[in-house]
Amino acid sequence: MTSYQKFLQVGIALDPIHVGAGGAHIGRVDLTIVRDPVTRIPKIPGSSLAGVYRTYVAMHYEEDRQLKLQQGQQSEQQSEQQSKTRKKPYFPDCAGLGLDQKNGHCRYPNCPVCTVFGFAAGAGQEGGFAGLAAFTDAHVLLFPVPTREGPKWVTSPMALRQIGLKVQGVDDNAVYMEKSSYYKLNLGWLLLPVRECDQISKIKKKRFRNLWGLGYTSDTSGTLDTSGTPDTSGIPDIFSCIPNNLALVPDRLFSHIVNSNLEVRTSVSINPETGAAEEGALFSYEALPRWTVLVWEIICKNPKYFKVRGQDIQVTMDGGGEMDTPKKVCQVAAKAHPYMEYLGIGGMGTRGMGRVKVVYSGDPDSGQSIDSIDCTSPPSQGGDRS
Amino acid sequence: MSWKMYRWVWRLEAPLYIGTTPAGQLNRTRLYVPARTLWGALTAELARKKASSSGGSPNYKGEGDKLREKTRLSYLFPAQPVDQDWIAWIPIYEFGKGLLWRREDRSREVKDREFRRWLLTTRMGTAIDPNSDTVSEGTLRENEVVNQWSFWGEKHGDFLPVLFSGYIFIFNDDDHDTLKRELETKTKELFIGGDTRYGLGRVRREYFEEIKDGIFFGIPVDLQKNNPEVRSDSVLAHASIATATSKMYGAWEMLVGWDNGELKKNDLVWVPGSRFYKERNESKDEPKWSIEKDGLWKKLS
Repeated sequence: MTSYQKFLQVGIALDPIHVGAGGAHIGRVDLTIVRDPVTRIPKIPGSSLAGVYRTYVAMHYEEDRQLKLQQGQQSEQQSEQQSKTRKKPYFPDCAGLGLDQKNGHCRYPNCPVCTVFGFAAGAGQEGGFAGLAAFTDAHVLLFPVPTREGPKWVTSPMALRQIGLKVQGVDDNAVYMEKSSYYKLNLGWLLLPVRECDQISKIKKKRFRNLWGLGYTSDTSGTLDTSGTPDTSGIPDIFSCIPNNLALVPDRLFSHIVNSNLEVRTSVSINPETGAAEEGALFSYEALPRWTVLVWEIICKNPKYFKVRGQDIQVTMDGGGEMDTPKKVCQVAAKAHPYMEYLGIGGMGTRGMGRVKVVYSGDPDSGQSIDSIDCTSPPSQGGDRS
Repeated sequence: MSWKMYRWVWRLEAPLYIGTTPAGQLNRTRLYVPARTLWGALTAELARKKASSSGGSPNYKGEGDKLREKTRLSYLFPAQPVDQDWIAWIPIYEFGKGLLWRREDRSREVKDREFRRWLLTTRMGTAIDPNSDTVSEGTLRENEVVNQWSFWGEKHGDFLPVLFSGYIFIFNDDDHDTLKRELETKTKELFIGGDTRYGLGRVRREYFEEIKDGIFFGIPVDLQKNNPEVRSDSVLAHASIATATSKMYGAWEMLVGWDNGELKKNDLVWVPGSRFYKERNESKDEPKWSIEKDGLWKKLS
């Protein structure tokens, strides 16, 4: 049994996603989003993911608790059932910062929320718990860009490294595609020659088929299944067209392409008395566009090696059994996935932003049969004409 | 009595936060990994991995004590990828210049302020109140972190990974081979520092090889003593003021840390990079230091 296990998560943005940086950028847009400080590629910080996961998992268990309470009241053995049901609500108590002694985190060793996501010691109280699940930043894996040949999902060696793929030979200022072209291709406003990299078919067939084709079913059971069928509900044709429209660019161009093709919206307040725009209320904000594919990891520790306030962790899983492995910790965290599909992540949620569908949740190494590709090609290859 | 010295290089797979004194609202990070922090991460990982194979509970105390007895750890310093190698940047105080960072091969040096700009960024965060789905009052915070990518001061270069480089000394007795194998196989990846639940502090080992030329961050090391001993005019770890000479310059710091639920306070210590000051008419011999169990340096002569 391992001390911890990493679970790769692949999500696709069903709406634009705005995770605000909390500051403004003069001359560009008013409300900017969080970026990696060096690559300048937008990302979702792990702390944002952790908070969202925690809230949605608490919501899930609260719904479950309410359901059990209702069932208990209808039962003939009402009092016995109720005595087995926990009194303290999971939501909102076990969500959020939770430092309030009365209404804050329960801090019970059998609470799936407090054990998986941890809790801080309140003022004047002893001991905290770091939590069994850690969330990495979510990075862009594939970024949709308009071209004259329709949308292409752009990626780079640095982005592919996140799914364990080492890519070499992407050195030219060019776009590497499955087939070469005599003509240049525009990625937004950037016009680039097309180089052939037949290895892209390998990425497509092996890696992306593993990530999508043998993926996790994002249903309410939250099970991790590496042998199931992909959950493509809610992701119509666009889902299947992504692997056929991959475009690989060098790392140095990836950031330019992403930042040149972010979604930027402009909004203004309307004065209800005049029906006209409020003076000085115009603002703009940016977001990762819809159909961006993001990747992050949930690193789950083995519950057997930790104690909560001196007691063993004893969380009962839905359907019975104990949460006694890292995989089961991930299963608890994955209860958030159906909520992310509707309630989303980040800001502007009331303005049609934030929904994410998790299309893969599993062992990053499962079923992978390639770990490196080489796109080195003769310099003369590829189109030179626009 | 002898030690074997190994160099190891760790690649940052996520930002790193090694907490130190805050500056106002900003929670600041160190630019290096102290031996004690590394010891804690190694202990946790070894104890859990061994418990995995034995089916029992992790023996943190046993593993921690064994590491203390059988190994000595250097601090880990930022390392820049150069061709197929990784070159560390070492802190050093200079009269009139303050704290500088100098490349191990002595080919470049930069001021601390500049070096921090190369490597550091900040992450802001706030708690959301689940009752209102809005920001919880008074929870806005900002943490300084070492980023996993850097331009390493090059204006026109590509960004490159950030690594950390240092040494581990393993006592050369009957247990040496077993311990070395355990470290090699069970600690390929570690979680170091704070906020690991937000994905921070993940480091992956890129390199682990024995160094036989007896050179430690460019200075000679004696591996035949009770503790490894180095001759150096600057310290590459915290050094106890009580045992150091008054003829030093640099900066002091009060080291504190949690130990089994108790706040443990050390004496004032010289920070890494602090230097020994010599009068012109003094012997040219540099002071000798031993690398102690807790990673601190102790002055010998």
